[in-house]
Parts: sequence; C-alpha cells; structure tokens
Amino acid sequence: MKREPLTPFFLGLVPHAVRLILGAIFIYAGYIKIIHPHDFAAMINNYGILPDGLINVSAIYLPWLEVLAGFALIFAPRYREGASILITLMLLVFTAAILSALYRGLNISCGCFSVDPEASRIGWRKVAENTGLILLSVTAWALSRKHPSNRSRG
Amino acid sequence: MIMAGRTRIAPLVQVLVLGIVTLLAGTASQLLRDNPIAWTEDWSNRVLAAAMEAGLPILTAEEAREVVDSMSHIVLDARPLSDFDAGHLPTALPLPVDDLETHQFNVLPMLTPDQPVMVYCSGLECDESIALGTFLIQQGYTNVALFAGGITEWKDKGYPVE
Repeated sequence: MKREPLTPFFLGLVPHAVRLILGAIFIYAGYIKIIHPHDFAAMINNYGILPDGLINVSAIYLPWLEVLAGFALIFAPRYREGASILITLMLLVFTAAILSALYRGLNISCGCFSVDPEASRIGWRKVAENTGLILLSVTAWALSRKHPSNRSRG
Repeated sequence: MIMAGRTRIAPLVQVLVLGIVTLLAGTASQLLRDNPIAWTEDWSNRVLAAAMEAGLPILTAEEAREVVDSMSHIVLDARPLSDFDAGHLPTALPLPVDDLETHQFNVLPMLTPDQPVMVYCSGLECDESIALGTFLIQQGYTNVALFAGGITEWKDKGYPVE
C-alpha cells in the first residue's frame, strides 16, 4: 500500500506538461503566421491599433518571437524563465488588443491561430481562452523561478 | 559544460537574447524568402484596394442611401447573423459569409445574373463584404457593388436602421 511515491512523480510531470502545451501552442501559432506574413499583417491592420509603419514590421517579427519563445520554453531550460515572461507579456498584449477591438464593436478575425479571414472571429470565448493561457504562462513562469533549470542537471 | 549549466542567466538577459534571436530570424526570413513582404505599407486604403482588385465598384454612404430608398439593388449583409439581427440597413437580406453554405440558397435563387446587388459589412475594417462580393462575382453575378463604409458609416450619417 505504499502509494506515496506516485504523487510526487505525477506532480513532477506538471511543469513539463505546462511547458509542452504552452510551447507547442506558441510554436504552432507563430509558424502559421510566418508562412503567411502578409495575411497576418492584414489581421493586425484590422485591429486598427498600430500605425501603418509598424504593421508589417510586427507581422515579420512577432511570429518569430512566438516560435522562439515556444521553442525556448520546451527545449532550452536555461531560457525558460525569459520565454515564459515573453509569452505572458505577449498574451497580455494580445488579450488587451482583443478587448479593445470588442469594445469598439469590431467584428474581425482574431489572427491568433489562423490567418484565414473566415476563421473564428474575436469574442468573449477568445478572451476566456487567452485568460486560460495567461494562467498557464504565469504558472510556467512561477515554476521556472522555483526550479531553475540548472538544478535539474547535475 | 556542467559549470556553464550551473550559471543562472538573469531573466532580463534571457529576454534580451530571445529578442535578439527574433530580430535575426525575422530579418533572415525576409531576406531569404522568395516573396518577402514590404517593410512598411500604406494600409489606409486596403479595403478600397482589395475592392478594386476584386472588381467591385465602391458606393458612398449617400449612394448607398439612394440604393436603399429607390430599392434599385438587392442589399446583402455579409456579417454574421447575430450582427444582422442586432441592426441592419433597411431592405437588407442576411447572407453571412461565415456560413454561406446554409444561407446562400435562401438568397441566390432570387437573383438573376445581372440583378444589381449591394454588399456591405461593418465598415472599413471588415472584409466580409469583399469576400461576399468576390463570391458573387465568381458565381457569375455581374452587377455587384460594395458599400465600403458599411453599417458604421450608415449609422454615423444618422440613417435609419432596421
């Protein structure tokens, strides 16, 4: 009846699962935009937040930041904390953009996981999804501070 | 290597390194891809440019008002049904682009190929009306026009909404 060791084992998996899920989501989201940068630029333009001069530049670099932060979170233990900070910040900015668009009554595509104009429109569901992701990324952040990667190597 | 592994990199440095790699990767992708996008672009006339590309003549709010008052065109609202229900141009029919499969058969049988049609969506920031206009042209309709200002400009002008 010695079951105790199992619990720490599964608890030990939680940080890996959090990083894997969040990292994979960001790699996927970024990859989709990297292959269609102009469609993504059009979606940024739809939000009506950035000036023209910054729209294409954001469409060029932002997807790479998503992909690299996602990769770092999963594969680069020494950059986990930085990656989780960046992912948290990105999610906060994205969610603020969605909220601002909703407030202005815009009916636009999210540009989150697809650059297809007919894809899902922004709405409260998207805000809820992002809130979940923010909780996940803050968890990843906290875990990366608690368990600096260097301790797991030895 | 073990020693290096034990050196903790400050979070700010981690963020900076990831930022620098992002700048390098993004720049490299622009330089290496066959069809890089422009670094800057004039997005202000995007809807108008897209409409021209699609072959859709643009109607102003005043022209749209005349269309509605004279009932010279079939007016189609390309927004989702919930938006249509919340308020639409008088005489408009819903043909939501996000569910063409369901709704097109309610509307298209009423149209002859040269029937004048006016499409609109929420305004200059939406692209549903262009998508609908393009779809109609592909279906063989030859007289499709776009009210680019959409319901936003319509309301701003103080015109009646149903």
